[in-house]
Amino acid sequence: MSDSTEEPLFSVRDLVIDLYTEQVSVRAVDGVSLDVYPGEVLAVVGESGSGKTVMTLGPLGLLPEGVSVDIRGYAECSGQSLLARSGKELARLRGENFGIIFQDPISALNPMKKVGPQLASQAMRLRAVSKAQARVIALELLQRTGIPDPEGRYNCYPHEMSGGMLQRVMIALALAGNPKILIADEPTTALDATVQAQILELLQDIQRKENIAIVLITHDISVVAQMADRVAVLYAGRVAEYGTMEDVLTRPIHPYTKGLLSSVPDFRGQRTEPVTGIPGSPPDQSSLLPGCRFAERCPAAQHQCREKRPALVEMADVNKAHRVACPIAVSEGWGQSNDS
Amino acid sequence: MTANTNTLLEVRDLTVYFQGQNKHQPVRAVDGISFAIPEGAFHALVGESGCGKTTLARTLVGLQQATSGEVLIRNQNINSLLKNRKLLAKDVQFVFQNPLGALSRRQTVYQSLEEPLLIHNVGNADRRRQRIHELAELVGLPLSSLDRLPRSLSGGQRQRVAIARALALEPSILICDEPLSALDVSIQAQIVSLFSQLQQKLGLTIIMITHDLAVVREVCTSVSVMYLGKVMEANNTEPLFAQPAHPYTQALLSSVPSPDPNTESTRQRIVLRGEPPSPMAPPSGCRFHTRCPKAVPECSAKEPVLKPQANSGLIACHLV
Amino acid sequence: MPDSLKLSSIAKWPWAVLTPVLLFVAVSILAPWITPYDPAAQDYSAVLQGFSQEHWLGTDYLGRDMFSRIIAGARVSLVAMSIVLAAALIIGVMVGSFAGYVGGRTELVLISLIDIILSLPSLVVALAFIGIIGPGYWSMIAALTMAWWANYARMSRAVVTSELHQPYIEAARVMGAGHLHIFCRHILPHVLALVVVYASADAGALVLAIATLSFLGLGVEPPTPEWGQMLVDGMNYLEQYPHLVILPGLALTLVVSSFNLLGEHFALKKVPKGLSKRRLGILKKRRAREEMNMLEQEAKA
Repeated sequence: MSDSTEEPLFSVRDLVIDLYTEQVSVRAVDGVSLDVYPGEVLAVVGESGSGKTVMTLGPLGLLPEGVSVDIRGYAECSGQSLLARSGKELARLRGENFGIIFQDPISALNPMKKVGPQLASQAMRLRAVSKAQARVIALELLQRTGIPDPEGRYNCYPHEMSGGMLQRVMIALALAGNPKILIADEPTTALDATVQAQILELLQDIQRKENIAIVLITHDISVVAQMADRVAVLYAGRVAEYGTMEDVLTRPIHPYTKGLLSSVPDFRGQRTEPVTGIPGSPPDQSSLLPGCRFAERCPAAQHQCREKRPALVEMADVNKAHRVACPIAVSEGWGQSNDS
Repeated sequence: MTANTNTLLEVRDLTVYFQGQNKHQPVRAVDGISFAIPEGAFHALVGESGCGKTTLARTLVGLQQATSGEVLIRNQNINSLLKNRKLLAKDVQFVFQNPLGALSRRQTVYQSLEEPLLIHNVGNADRRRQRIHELAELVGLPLSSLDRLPRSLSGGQRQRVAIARALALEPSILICDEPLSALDVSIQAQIVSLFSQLQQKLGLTIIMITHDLAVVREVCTSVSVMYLGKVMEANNTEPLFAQPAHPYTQALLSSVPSPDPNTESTRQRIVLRGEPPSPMAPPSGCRFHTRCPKAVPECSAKEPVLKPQANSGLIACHLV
Repeated sequence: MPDSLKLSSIAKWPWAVLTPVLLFVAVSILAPWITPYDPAAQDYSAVLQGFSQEHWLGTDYLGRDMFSRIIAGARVSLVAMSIVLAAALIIGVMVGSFAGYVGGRTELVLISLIDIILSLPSLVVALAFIGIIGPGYWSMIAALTMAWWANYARMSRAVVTSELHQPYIEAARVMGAGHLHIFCRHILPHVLALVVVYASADAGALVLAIATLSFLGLGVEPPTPEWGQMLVDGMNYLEQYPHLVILPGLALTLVVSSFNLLGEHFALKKVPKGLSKRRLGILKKRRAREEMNMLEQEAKA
């Protein structure tokens, strides 16, 4: 990031993550480099299988059990490498720096324990405070995440709360360790529109007031438009396009980004041409083939696209922060982008 | 939206209650709904989870028994049609939310597509093969996928299989329960355009349950907005999106973020307080009054009826 | 089970699991051709002999060849076990599926019956049944079937109730499918897939139960060579000729534990575990080669 003088909080360099099971070996993340700066919202956008979750949770050692993971490259947080650490050390680094909000709060919370004590024990573990202090912290967290009547809700079981309330508890849990970075993995996908709006509002509030960086993993362009400062568009484990939210969403350059944006209808404004989507389906990531992963679905694909992996290059003349992995689109210039 | 001569499907005062934990307090999933769908419509049922839209859809294909009221298909009561399910199956078909669950994990695509033909004793093996190839072409499935199992297909292809299977018996009504929510964005758009192509090509009447308002605006001709088991507003798509009249519709529309950052930054948000109340004990009067930003005392006392408006549409609100 | 850890490490290897089971089945089937002597032929000139060239595993108190008797015993066990398993499977799957499919009060009654049977140790149920109908080979078969079917019934019912509300069953209903179609085409394959796997793992316990009943004199009757029976015969000579007890005991232990291993194998298959270090190493190397290939191709272009 050439326009920022700040040190990144969390960065990954040339990250490659292979997932191995007895049946298949999948290259989930294929050479990704990204930085997260203090207080910013970085949206990692992609469809299922794009590696957005593996890329963020993999270096933190939070991938599901039963899969063998091979991580190469470099990942660091506040100057400390996250890779090649023991489970204990990684857990400590994770607790000090990250708070994680999962898509489905009901499976992330213990159904047998009341939510207040769950929060308190998390705070006790991460902040090394006494039981009494932890209770105070837990109540304060419930208040901070906009849960009405925190004293009353303290003694509720997860199943007694609605989806929106649970997601607030999940956020409170993520905040329990005073994290510098919140990782929100599809935080509103399971929620209804009116509740989703409330949760996004809350996240925005936390980010602005407390200057916590947020890595927002999502497939929902509308959520990105509402929340993000910067966007990384992932396709098949690689960054297709990276830049500020305005650049990527209003002046997309990569054909995949364009296709993705044109797949999302907007009911505001004029009713335009019907959306078409992108023909075909995401590639099989179990075999490593040369060239651009998007080539087989790309309307602009040429011979060279299937031969050589496109490098992520800076759009030097426009905005150095805007990087695109498509030499063809870059050479055509960004003037032709579908500025809607 | 009014019943006319070519009404294909009609619902009259439909209620569907479930036995909840509390015997005296049933879950009132659908609580008095009436509407008529003309032939060739592409109608959307929108609302948040728990509003009863899925229950309503399931009642329309007889997967759920109505507690009271009627479902009429071509003026015939669904209960009499259900005496011979095969008859109903030829007229009304259903597309499920999650295609992976709706397809047997042990059947190849070919077997799944052949199943309705076998149940209805359609033709011989050759005739069936021909029909299956037709169906695959209709929904854009490559023939090479016919021998594969659902789990080895992509999400979009699975949903295409489910749609092809629903169309195998040439139904006139297709009821789709959140057919897009399990799919990726770029694939959703493919399936949406498939639906509108099919509708035009086959003259289908489609009722689509969804929470995705942008998709509704894109392809549907008319919309019913549901809240806690009731229809709050029903109208043709254009006027509903241009001038939402019911406060709930307004809030629902305003809550959806826009994918365009320019629009997004100027969006007027009506953030509703709290969450929908329990359908076991819906609020008195207008069900929405507990969250409605415009509620007046009358709203909690008297339940508004869904009545036609001067310009267009049907609205259940005292203030309109 | 404290040794379950060890078992599971062996059970990872398919050949280690399948070989003993297949060996048992092969020996049982081929028994009439591979026994060197008639297992029932008595030879008073050679009673209670030790291991020798003529009688590899010695002879018993009637001069019968122990090797032949052990092999013939395997056949008897396998036949009895197969009959009981088949009968218990058929009854269990039918009753369980019916209960799950019909639901309501019928299901409640059937499930209570199944639970009562399952709440008692299978052997107690079998003994009680033999107490009613008297001892003998066929009453043993009937008694064991009575004790075993309930297990499969419960499993079948569980599969049926969980599958019955799956969307693909509802999809079949919307297509107009009748109950028979739905049951035969969609539900039965799932039931069988689970129950047959469980039954194959359960076979060890059944072999043991057959031996136990015969040991108690309630099952296979004396002239027929059967391991439990042989144990009883050998008991009288335990001090001087321990091999008469040890050999059938050993055969029984091997067969039972090899079936248990099979069960463990199936159970392990269900739970995905990370790959072994060795396997992961192989896969990583393969991946690295692939990557080299890809990079070379890209470099050429």
